[in-house]
Amino acid sequence: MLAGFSWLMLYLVIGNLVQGITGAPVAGSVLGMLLLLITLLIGGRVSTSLIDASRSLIHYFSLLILPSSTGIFFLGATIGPIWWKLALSILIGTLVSVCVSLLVMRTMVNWQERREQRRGEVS
Amino acid sequence: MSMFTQVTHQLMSTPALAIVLTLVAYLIALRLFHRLHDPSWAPPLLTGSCLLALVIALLPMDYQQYSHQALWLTLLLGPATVGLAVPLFEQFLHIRQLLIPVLVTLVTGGLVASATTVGVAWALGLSPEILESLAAKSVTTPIAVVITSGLGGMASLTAGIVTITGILAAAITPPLARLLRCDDPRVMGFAMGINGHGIATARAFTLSPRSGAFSSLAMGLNGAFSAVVLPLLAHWLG
Repeated sequence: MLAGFSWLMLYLVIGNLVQGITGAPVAGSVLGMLLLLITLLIGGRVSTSLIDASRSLIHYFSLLILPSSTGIFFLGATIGPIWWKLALSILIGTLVSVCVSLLVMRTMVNWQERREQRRGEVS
Repeated sequence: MSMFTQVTHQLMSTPALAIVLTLVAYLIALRLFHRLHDPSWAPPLLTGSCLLALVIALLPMDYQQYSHQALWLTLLLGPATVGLAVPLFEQFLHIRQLLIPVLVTLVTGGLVASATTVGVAWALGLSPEILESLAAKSVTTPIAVVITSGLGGMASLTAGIVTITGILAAAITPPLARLLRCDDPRVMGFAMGINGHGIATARAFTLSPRSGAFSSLAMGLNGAFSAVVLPLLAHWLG
């Protein structure tokens, strides 16, 4: 667990380092995540200590975000007069993108399954 | 200055009070969530935020002070975000089997989720700062908060928007999937994870384990994809 946590912190530091050096407009923690994913894919396996550390942190995501999400109640002056515009954007945006993702994924899954079927018939 | 105010100021000079308040609000929200049989319309993040906001409003401290002291908790979002690589790695088998469908849906779904929302908000005349806070609305909160800070938006506004989006996506995706005849658990799960991150993923797991697996896969992939693509897009368009 502690070893796993140390690995996560190490990749966070590496991510921050890469971000600082390249000046990439992507957060250091996200770069660290991608680098860790690449490492795991190359190694092909993940240690139990790393699984434990990441599971316990991910389990408490809601808790860790709570201080930030509470801030929305103190934005009254900023979003007061525009709340309905925000709500409308979120509603339309979510409705459209849910439909698009459903239809694209279904079309693509059907396409792949038909392709595999054809391949099965040929061989 | 009253005794009460004085004592609170004393307590606010260390992070302990802010952390205890956050922990208690979270635990109460969690208990309430289980008591109500895990409803997707009332995730602990939402009820916990309401509770915490109420307490901060009642105590003689402002949100700035609180969030500054709660930084001790917020800092852990860094290693937690890095840790998302582990479930993503564990889900990789699914990606390999359905590589092309997954990638095509990820790119179109991820971009459409951001573009339609920002587009509508732009058409309604909202300010650039609000548009920046809306861009990451479908991404899991820790990554969304990081993306928004990078873009120059308001992180706490994004955290709220992400929660609302998650609740909405969790509620509307299953009926829409039946309506559009897309109720294959892989298709429905993937759509839920792209659009409604962790909140919709929790709902997807209650529908079927397969939907849940695909939803968490989509959530992780969209987090990684959006975290890389949205800042770059904003950089080039900006």
